[in-house]
Amino acid sequence: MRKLLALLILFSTVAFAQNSFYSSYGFGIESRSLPVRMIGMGNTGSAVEDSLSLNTLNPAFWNGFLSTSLQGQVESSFLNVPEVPFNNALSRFMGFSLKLPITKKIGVAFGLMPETRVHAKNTFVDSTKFIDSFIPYRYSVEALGGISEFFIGGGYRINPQWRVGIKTKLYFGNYINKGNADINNNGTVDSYYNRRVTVNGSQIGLGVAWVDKSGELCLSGYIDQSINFKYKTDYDYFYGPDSTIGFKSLNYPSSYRLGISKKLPMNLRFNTDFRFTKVSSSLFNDFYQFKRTSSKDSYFIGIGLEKLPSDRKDSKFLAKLFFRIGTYYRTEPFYYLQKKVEESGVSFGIGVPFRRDLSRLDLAIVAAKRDGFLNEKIGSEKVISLHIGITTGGIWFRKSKRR
Amino acid sequence: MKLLGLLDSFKIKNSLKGQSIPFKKFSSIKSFLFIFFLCLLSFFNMCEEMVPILQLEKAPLVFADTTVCDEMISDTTQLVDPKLGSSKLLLTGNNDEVSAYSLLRFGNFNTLPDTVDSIVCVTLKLLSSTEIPYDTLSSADIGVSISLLKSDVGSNWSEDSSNSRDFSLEGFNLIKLGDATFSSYDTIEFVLPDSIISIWRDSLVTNYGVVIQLTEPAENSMVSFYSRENSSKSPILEVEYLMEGDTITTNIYPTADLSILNFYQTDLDSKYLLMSNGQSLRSFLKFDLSNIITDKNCVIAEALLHLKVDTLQMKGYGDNIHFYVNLLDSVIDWSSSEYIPDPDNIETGAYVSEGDTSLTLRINKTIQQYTSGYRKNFGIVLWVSPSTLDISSLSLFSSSYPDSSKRPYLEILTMKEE
Repeated sequence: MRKLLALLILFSTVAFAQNSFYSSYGFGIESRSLPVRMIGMGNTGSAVEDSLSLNTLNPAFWNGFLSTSLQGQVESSFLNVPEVPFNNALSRFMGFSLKLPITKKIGVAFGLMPETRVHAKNTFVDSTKFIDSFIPYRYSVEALGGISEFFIGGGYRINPQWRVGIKTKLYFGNYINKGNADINNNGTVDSYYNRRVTVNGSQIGLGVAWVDKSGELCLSGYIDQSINFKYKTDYDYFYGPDSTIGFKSLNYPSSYRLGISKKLPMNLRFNTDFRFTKVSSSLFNDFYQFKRTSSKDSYFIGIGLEKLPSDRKDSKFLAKLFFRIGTYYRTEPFYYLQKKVEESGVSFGIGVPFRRDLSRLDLAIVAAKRDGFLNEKIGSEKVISLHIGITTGGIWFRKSKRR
Repeated sequence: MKLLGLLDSFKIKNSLKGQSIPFKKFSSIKSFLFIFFLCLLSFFNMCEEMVPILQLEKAPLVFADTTVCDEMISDTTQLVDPKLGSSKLLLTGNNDEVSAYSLLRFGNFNTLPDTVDSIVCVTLKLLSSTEIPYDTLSSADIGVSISLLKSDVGSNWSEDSSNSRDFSLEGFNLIKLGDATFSSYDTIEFVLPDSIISIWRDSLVTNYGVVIQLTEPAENSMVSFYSRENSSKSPILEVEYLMEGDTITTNIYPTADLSILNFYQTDLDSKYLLMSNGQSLRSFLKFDLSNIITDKNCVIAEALLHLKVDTLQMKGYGDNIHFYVNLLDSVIDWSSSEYIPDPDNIETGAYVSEGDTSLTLRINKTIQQYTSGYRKNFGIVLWVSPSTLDISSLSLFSSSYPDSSKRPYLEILTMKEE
């Protein structure tokens, strides 16, 4: 586990950024900050019980842990926009979490993960009429930032069928919007502008899960309710005094998620998730990076299939791996000219347990296509992302019997 | 018990799907994974991020333009005592605007021994510049005379402070020492009497120097000589003397030289903004921006001060007039005779040629300082560069000129981030 901690620290030096032309809108493109196991299943799995890795989607499953484990994950994504053309590779740390069993029925967990990320640059070259001539200018603007969440919570197994959990999420982050103007377009910076928006808030998440007696069917629900989100804006102007607009309330979206997990023959498990995010219609008119946009409720739906490892001790290596596939569709909460941004993708993943089931390496690859209001300019965005997650567990805080 | 049994059964079923892979069997896999992971880590850290760049439909900037004119502009012209000691030309002659003569004094004879066997020859050498204006009508030969200034009661002149208002040749006894004719860029030599050295070295007699004037036939003509401020072309007093049988020549340089300019027209008209070195005229301008630009964060993208030239009154004598703009530092600088513009803090400047009817000064920085509150707006002063010909004068129409189209006005383009 110490090695993993060291690796996580190393990974945290990787640039935080976003890999999309849409990242400068709204809060930025939502990060795929769920466990790699679930990414491999089309971002589904809120109804999947996993005593090894933490199911960060639903705290109702934060119980029955066999081990104390630390998990972390990274993502490397490759953006291809053929019509621009534009290609980019980006790697980033996608968070970590630590879970601890308290009793057989109670577990707690906490962690840190990125929620959204923004890194985009826009340049505008034009001229403005002044007297009888036109004055050319070049304005470059860069947005950088995002929101991260720290979560802590616990789960409780009421009985073999019912589980409940609660999660508190503390959001923090900032968005920095830097602009500079070159009037007369002569290569000199005549003015800069720096707007820093500091966001903080919290969410309470409540999860519930029901497992049938045979353990073959699991239904789950999860609600995220935003509490006291606010943002402060600091302006740093090239000329004149700087100014600050004190904290204003931010109507951060709340979301609702339903999940179904059903065991199928041949050691397969079918999962599907649906998420609905309630978004205020004026959200991105008040809060924006470069450009105000409208906002609407967003949706996510995904289905996934997982082949579980064989129970037999004499199984071959491949039979002891997890294999996952999935597909998903989701929309972003920002709209422009009534046009939405939608993403659909397919995923494939494997899981390799090791160290006597106390650790697992999860890999997932996702191929996605993103369309939206920029399609006329850039066409579709094609993203291939590779996700690596590792969970290392140990027996902490529990008595082990000598045999 | 049944419930507990079910629970255990469920936990075993659901906690770890699949058997663990015996660790020892996969030590090679472990090594492979470790190396693979490290390589991947290195790869991730080496990835250079490219940021998507997108053309916006509209820059998040708001531009606005405004004009400052008429009652928002105040101006005045001020006449102070001229100080022409630093001019690089000595002027002599007269024209429709001005009459002039030059004063020259040699007072430092350190290079000449106190006692010499005899003075052989004393020659004053002047290097002429051009006739003013220099054109096809200029005379081929111009005559000038040089006279010794003598007075029993007259106060001596000073290069730094004397001018036509406090100095006059009246009361001086002018003893003609010689005359000469010359053309432009010529060397003029006056052979002076040997006794001039002993006169100037006599500490009991005030050394007023000599005056250089045009001879009578060359009226309505202005000529110029290089002054001692032009070190390579300075006037020289060449003294040839005998010392222990040897003939020795030494050069003596002037300790002071000065043009005295008498302008015929000295009345100021508030309809004009005048600038001149010789007359020591300078103009003050102030724009009231307090109600025009109230946002201190506004960027002054462009600020153009338009000034219209009164071509009838402007006298350039064939040369450009170079003037500067300085910002005033306090309210008392406005039209104060004590105020001296700092040549090291010039805000902007411009050249005006004869024939120019208007000029535009770009004063973005100045207006930005005023509107952003970095500097209080006490106004600006327009003054002529000392290198400009002293008899030149620049005339601009002021804000009180009857024809509003000829008054000064300021056009400003502001920019603000949305």
